[in-house]
Amino acid sequence: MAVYDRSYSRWDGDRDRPVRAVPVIAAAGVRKGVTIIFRRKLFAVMLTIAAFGPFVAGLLLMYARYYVMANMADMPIAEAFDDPEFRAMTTVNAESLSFYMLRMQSVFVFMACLLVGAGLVAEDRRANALELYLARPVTVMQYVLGKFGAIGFFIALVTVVPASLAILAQMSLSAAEPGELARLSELMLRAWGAGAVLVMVPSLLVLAASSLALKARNAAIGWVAFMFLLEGPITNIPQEIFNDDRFFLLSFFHNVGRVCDAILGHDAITTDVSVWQCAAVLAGWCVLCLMTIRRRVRPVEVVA
Amino acid sequence: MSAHMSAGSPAPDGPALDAVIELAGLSVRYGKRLALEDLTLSVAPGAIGLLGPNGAGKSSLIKALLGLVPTSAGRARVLGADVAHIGSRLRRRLGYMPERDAAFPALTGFQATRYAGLLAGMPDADARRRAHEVLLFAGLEEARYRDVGTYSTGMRQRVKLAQALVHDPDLVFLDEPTNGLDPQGRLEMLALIRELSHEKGISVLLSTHLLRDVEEVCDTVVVLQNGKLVRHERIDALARSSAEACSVRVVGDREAFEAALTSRGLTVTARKERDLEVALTSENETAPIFASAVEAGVVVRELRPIRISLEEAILHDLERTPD
Repeated sequence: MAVYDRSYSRWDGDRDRPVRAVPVIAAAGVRKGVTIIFRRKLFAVMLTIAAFGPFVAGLLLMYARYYVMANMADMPIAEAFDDPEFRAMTTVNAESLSFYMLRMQSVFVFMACLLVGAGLVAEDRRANALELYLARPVTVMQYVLGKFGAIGFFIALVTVVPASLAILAQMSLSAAEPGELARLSELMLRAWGAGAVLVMVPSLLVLAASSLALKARNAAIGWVAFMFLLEGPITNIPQEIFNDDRFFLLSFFHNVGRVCDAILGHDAITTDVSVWQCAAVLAGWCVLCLMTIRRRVRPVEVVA
Repeated sequence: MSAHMSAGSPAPDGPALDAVIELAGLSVRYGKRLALEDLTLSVAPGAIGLLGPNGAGKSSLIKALLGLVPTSAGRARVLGADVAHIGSRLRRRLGYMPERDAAFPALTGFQATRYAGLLAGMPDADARRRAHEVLLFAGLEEARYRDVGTYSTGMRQRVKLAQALVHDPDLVFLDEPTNGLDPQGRLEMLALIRELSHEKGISVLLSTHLLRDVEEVCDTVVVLQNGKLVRHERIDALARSSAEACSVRVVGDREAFEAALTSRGLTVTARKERDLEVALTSENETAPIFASAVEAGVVVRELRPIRISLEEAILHDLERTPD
């Protein structure tokens, strides 16, 4: 039988080691998110295929076109691969990135917010864990940044990461063309800029919703209801009735789309409102979310 | 009323301290309600009992010392550092076991304790090792790989203690640690606290409304009521000062006798059918009782020594404190 020393022993480690609360909290949030997603294995597999399948397929087609054009240019199959539509589909540019990050992957951003983001603060509030966090060398700011890091990781994973890998793949195929490399390098920076907006705004919104609830489910329902109201009755219906594009300023998807398109350099203006107006509204949303989170993330609920 | 122990806490990264907690006119206000009022005291290292009825301000004091609630006036120093500017260096020397049920959600006992260590700045390998050690110490050997959500109340108290200790603090705040424990669990918890404070040199501030817990574990007691300091003394001094009383039976005007006792600074602690219980002065001197009898013109028929328990002494203090 094993014999253990059950008495208390002092720790002789380094007590001046800097506390890295943000990565610790973010890593715990990511682990929890993975656990939630993989709770139902079939669902997780299908979600993964749906989220990354088009990206992998696009990457394979890009390499296939390059291979065919480089090695089989004189064969009949090359004609199909040299088709302008096919070429556009397998070329990484601002338009394709805009389509991929803002349209195709938006459903997965939404799902990441629902599955992972909704419970990040709500569950801690329900379990009275905020008191445990903030009695340790963790500030409110570090706590919020850690939670932001967790949800941001999942949003970046389905948007910025595939976009960056696609650009890197295109770079590897264009290594001999300096002009193309410069274009792709600039595109990479633009993709990261757009990705920052795409990560920041939904993350803050869902963290604010989470901080207002005590259960992940309630936070998720509240967040979906808010989005539905914002996009439907508050934005699109009045816009249709009054035919006034300024109503689009209330739309989350519209504003994020306009700002990200502008950062990507994709000229896709469809409404009369300016990018700066959209950016100002988004900044307002972010400030409102931060104020909400700051108000709700407290170690002690003081009832005067 | 301030009391100091002679031996300082052997803080691993600093010299021994004369006082682990120093308060100077500390007040805490929740809106219009004053939770703590003008507390001034200096508490020496060791096991400190924080006593008081529900709503006395015990938890508010702990939260103020941890920087979790803002102070409205005065100054508080913990381990020599001002809590108004509490930083990570001080926080990692403090441990905290909250009164209410609190846990990092959806983690096992081991994961939660390791996570608490990581949040306190420990390297992962050390946090893992310490988590196992303190969970063994807390008596959660078998259950450490189970979800905390499945734990009984006693086990939850134990895992909260483990989380408070994983980073090896120099001062631990334990807010009602025996709440919800069965008698055996309570004794085990008190034994753990005693080991920490008396054998391992960790100062413990034990907040409770159970005097017996304080008597069993603590060296010093701080009594609060309605946010005010009622008493701050070493337990042994308190026991000495309150140990002796007399049961006095007189024939004659009892009211005049009581008045005479009071005028001599003696306190009648209880009135029974035929007897009065009178707390003696620290010298256990009975002469003032006889002098009072002469003054009131009563005959002392019986004078019998009785002991006043610590509990009675503190209850007496609380009764004397105006709301």
